[in-house]
Amino acid sequence: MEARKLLDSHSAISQWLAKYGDDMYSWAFYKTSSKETAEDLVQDTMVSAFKSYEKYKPGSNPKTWLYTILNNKIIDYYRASNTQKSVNQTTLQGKNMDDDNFDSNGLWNKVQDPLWANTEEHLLDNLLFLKVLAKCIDNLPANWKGVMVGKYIDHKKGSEICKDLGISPSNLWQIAHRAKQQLRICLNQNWKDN
Amino acid sequence: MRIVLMSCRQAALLDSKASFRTLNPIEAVKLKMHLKMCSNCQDFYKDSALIDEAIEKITQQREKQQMELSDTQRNKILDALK
Repeated sequence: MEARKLLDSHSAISQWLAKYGDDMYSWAFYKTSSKETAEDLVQDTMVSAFKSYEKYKPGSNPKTWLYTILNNKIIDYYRASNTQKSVNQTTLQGKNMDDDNFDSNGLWNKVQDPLWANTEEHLLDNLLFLKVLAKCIDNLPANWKGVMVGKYIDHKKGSEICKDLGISPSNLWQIAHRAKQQLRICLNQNWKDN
Repeated sequence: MRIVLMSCRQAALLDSKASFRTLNPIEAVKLKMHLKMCSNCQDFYKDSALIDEAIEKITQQREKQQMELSDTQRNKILDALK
């Protein structure tokens, strides 16, 4: 009996992997912008599905069930990036960056060239600009990216993002603030050199 | 020079806050006054809106991107089912 169950679940998961694997991988990559992370997340999802196969309701859509597990794994991944250690690192990094940007009175220290003032072409139609920005986003620390995913991909409310990531509202604003500063600096440094 | 009631650092933070919730009336008024006086922050606010739009655009582009798991990766996953 047990052996048969195991065989059933193994063959079901193998079929689902063949059928939905690429879609799940694409989705995980879309949300994490890292191939390695996306591969790990798909694997973890399949292992979880295999282990809790008896929770799957026969006849229901397996894709929906798998995506529920996958989305929870993605939230866990970002939540883990907000462990005490990485928050402290962020605070440190952020502080250094803020110190660079603002003087002790809180006024702009290093003034960035305004991007919007570029008149040659509308920047949103400039593929290179978008490419550089995408790279700048990929280089953000994982816990900052978690905020970006909640805001721009999931279009979640601030309170929901805080709940997902296990952070406070003021933490959220700080992280989004630093991410924005960092992106602007990164664009100024890398886009113009091209 | 103090730029009326609020520093640039605070003004920039309010941009982030405002993207998650409505500012309270006091914050909104202070920010408005600050922005009137401060061209660096005006630049920052315009850039911030531009970056938001650009991120939306990148996000839409990426959503369509179809990826494929390699055979090695598929086998690795199957091996992990134990």
